[in-house]
Amino acid sequence: MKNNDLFKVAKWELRQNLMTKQFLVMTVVIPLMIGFFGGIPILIEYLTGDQIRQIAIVDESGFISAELARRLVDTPVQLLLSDIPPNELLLQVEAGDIDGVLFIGRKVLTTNFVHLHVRDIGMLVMNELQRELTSIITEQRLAQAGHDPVKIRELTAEVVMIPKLVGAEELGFAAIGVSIGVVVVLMIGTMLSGGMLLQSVIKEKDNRVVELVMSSVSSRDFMTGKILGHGATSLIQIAIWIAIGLPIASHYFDIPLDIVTWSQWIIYLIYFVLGYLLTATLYATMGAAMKDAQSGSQIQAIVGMLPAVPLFILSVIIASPDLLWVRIMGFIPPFTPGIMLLRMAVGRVLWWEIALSLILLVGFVYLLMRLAAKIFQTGMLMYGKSANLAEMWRWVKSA
Amino acid sequence: MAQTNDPLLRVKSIRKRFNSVEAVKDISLVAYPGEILGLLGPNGAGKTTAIRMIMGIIQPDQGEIIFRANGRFGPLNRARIGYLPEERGLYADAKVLDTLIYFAELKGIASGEARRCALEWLDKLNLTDWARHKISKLSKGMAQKVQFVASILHKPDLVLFDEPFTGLDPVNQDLFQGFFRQLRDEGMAILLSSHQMNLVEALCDSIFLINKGEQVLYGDLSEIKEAHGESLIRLRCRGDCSFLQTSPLVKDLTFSENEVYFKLPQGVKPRQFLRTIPEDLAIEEITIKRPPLHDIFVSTVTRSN
Repeated sequence: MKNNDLFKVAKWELRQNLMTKQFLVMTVVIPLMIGFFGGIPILIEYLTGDQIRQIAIVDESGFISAELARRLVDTPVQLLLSDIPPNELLLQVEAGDIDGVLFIGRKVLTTNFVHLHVRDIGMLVMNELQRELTSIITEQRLAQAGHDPVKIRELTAEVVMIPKLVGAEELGFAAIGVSIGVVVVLMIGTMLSGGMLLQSVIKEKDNRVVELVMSSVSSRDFMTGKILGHGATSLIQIAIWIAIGLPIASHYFDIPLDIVTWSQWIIYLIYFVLGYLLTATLYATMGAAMKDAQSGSQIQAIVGMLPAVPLFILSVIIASPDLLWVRIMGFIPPFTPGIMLLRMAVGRVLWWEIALSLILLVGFVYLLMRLAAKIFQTGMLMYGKSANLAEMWRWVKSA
Repeated sequence: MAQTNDPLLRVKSIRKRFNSVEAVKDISLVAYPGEILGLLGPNGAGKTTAIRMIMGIIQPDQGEIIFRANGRFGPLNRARIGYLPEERGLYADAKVLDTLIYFAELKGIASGEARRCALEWLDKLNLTDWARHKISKLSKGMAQKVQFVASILHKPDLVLFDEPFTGLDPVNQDLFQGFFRQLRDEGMAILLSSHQMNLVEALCDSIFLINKGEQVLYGDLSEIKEAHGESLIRLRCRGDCSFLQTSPLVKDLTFSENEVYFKLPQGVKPRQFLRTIPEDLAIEEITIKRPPLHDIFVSTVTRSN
């Protein structure tokens, strides 16, 4: 009967969530926004990157055009060596006959300026031209100073680093990117569904439906059922995002669909579920202790932000996943899911670190849910004011 | 009144404290099948806390609540109780029929059976056309009817209606009274909490009055009226009524043309007074009114305070 009640509540929550406009909007609009603001420009650049760009060059220095043309062979930039007067070339650019004109002054070696006139041009082409021009001009300066440019080039050749994990396959940048993407999606999913749960709890408390429900099921079943229902909603949402996003990424970026392995998925799922339970329990408790959506205290705001902390230090984790303090943070339960998932996405995490973090996380979630159920029971029936930490602790002791 | 000897609910000396405030102090009551028991009390008396304990929403610090289900006494069986809380609320975005089925399912009723019963009740309340509308589309009165159905759809043994008439127009108040009587006649035990004393008086077989967390009045309504109220007498007569001015059984005497109005002090039964009327007094008309519950409530609470 007890578990039955829990699943009845969970089923109701799931069904109600799936039928809301909010779910539809979140599921469709968020990926579109991410795609629009983040992915689409990259995709457009990628798709148009192979398009040949015709750039005419007016070289008053006399030493750049031939060398630049040689270096740009087999690139999307076709350099046109032309005697046409500059004004006419600009008219051609304006008319769309050519993509741009590159003006190189006589004193480029001292001024360090070149001018590129274009109607529109991609970042890839710009970067290509910039790199080659810098290289040619630098070599010319070295030659004038009496150095052998070829020798210098050999001596100053950049080191190419190919990251490899001991006992693992070569770590491709695409794999890292996809893993980070998946982890960020999981974390965003957790935060969003936690937020939805918080709103739902506050709404039920506000419209007093809670009295009716709690005369039928225990407060613990009620809280857990709500958490599971919203968790299932989140899983469905994330599954939709990944099911659509991964094949698209695979198609356009030539990434294999199985780039995230089954064992990775399972670990991700375990951390996601535990992370969600932790976040959702915190949010449900906050909702129960709050008078309304506007009246949360500062401490409640801080508690609410805890699970998002790993996202704030995302760049540090990506750059140095094995920093001592990052590893330690991975064992502090509110941060564990985010930190461990990100560390696993960008590097190698030792098995005992995973095991220990999971044990600590499971224990913490269990204790938190027990405490939360006590706060939830009293808080949900208290109207008109928000509770502070001291009050919540009194509820825990008296329940 | 179809009472049986065994009570359906026995509340024994329950207490509840919130921090330094003792909200409920040692109250006991019983509820029988086929009985409507009025739970009364001024605001802040501890009524809501008592109701929440009886409904199993919160647990008493002391005392026990024994419930009879399937012929056996035991702890409160949530599946066999119904509750219409004073604080009204339903899922605004959910549909009427879905909501009713959900609450019935929480009480252990199968989905199909819940649907059938819900549609029956919606038909009785002329809400069939609204079954697939969202709750947010309903008027306040309609939403209240839906809540009422949610509280009794699973045919509970015991149901608690907390301020069920608030927000209802007189027509719907009469409709609800009819339903309450019907449910009582079917053997349901009903706890009715309301501040509308005329309706409590019309419906309840017995009352329980709580003030400052304590029981101040409890028992059969007619016996309470007889024992605790001051009967109102209107007397039309010919002859000398001066004995009334000196009678110790009379108070608040008022003369008006041919009529006299007065009260019998608490504890004085009308029969006692009638015996003191002189034989030569020609009584044309006499009415004896039991005191209204409202007066008993006010005087008892005032005394208690």
